[in-house]
Amino acid sequence: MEFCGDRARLRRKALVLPALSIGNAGQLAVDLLISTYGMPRVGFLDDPHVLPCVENDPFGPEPRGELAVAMELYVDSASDITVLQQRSPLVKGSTLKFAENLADWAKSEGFENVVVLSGLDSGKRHLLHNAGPQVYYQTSASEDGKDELCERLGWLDVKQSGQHTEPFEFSVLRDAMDGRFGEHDQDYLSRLPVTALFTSFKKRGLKVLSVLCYCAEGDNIPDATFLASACDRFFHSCNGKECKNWRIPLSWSTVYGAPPDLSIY
Amino acid sequence: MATHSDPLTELPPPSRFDPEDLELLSDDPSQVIPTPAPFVAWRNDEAKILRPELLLLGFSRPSCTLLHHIPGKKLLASIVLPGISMAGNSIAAPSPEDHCCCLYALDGDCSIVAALVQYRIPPEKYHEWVRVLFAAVNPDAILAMELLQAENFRSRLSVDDPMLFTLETDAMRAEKREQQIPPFLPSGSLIDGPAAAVLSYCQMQSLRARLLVSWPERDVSCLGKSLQDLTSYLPGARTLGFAQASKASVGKRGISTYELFM
Repeated sequence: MEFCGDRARLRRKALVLPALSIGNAGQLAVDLLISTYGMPRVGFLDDPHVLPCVENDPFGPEPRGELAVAMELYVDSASDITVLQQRSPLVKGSTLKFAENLADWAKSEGFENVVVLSGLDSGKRHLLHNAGPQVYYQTSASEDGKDELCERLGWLDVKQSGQHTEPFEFSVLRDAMDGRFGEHDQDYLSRLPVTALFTSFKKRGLKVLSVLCYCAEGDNIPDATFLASACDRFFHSCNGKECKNWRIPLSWSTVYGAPPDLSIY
Repeated sequence: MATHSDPLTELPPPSRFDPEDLELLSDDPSQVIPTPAPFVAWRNDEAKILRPELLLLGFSRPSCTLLHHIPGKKLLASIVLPGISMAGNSIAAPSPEDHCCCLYALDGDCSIVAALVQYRIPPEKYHEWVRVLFAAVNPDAILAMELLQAENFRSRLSVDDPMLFTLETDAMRAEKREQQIPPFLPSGSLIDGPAAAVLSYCQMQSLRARLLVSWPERDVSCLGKSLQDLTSYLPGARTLGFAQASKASVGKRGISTYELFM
């Protein structure tokens, strides 16, 4: 994976990135974070496993013709974090290779912590803990998989969702990374891109935290806001500078396509 | 009487994955046959690096048809993509219906080179293909042409209303411009495919590059006129007659086998 940009401007306290998931919840949440905090772009990542895409200025407020590509890096100096946005899917079958490339890059750049935002398919949910939305997490920072700050924020360990039955190390995924392809794991969570990323980062000694919420395909703006708020509270829990008003990116104004053709009436 | 399972009270079956889910761990490397990398076959059998002032890239049928009608162009090389069948390709001289990618010099001193991309590049080959192209051609500026993708365009499209948009790299935007350039692609719409791979590469390498996206497929005149305007700064381009070539190519678009049975 190749970095193009100003390496000196990267902030290394944490790397925040989305995992490809149902509803594109992680990607939309990252869009909200970048747009609201006005994060400047500092570079690009180039990887052969990411399908290319280009567009015009996704954040605005006015489209200035600034070209956006598939993977871009933004920074928030106040929180000392770097945010990676991934706008397109991967070449089929290359999730593992991509995760390993990204983890290698993050390790080489000296990032201390990684936060991965992802949605989970609510159609595969086993248990409902309460009537409202709930944030789940999984962390590599402790042996028992618990994180004090996450617990204080009211998040639940993803094992409590009832869906995750495997031990912490997803053995099939680990084997696949080592070139051993055996029977496929029956656990839904272990087959997701977020898990490939989590395992890759953990394997390289980085502290990684997955922040997850259940959602379905449809209008995922509320899910994105929920996930972005969770991430925002995580980074600002000490200083109380959480975001109160999210700034909708310019590219979201047409997220549901063209308006209906009224001439037919 | 058949018993019916109750999805509300009974435990789900052991596995409820969609087949797509399983593909995240698919493709055992030992079962995937790697294909050879693309390569450039030079006409004179002499490997070289071209250094034109402008590289034109036609990714869409209208752009390839237009470039085919530029008179006097000289075939320099072909970018061979292993795995692409050449059955049906003409032997005498490349035609707009061939599945190939040919590099031409449009003027006498190779200051303007055109690549007509007339085959489908598999997505997993985009990255390699772009690098093979730019290893062979080192231009001052790049102008690529692609068709607007209806599925990625977030506004209404009518086959009766021609449209032309542009996207540019930061290096190109930083230039002072005298030419009339088409409006930028509306925010929220995107372009993918090999044209996006080229523009992304140029953005990351700080090359001066522009992508023109046109609509509909049958309209060539809009593209030809814009090409004439955007290349007018080059002395070698003034005699090429892009606008005339676009007129000459109207109505001469070949009918593909698929379209015969539509």
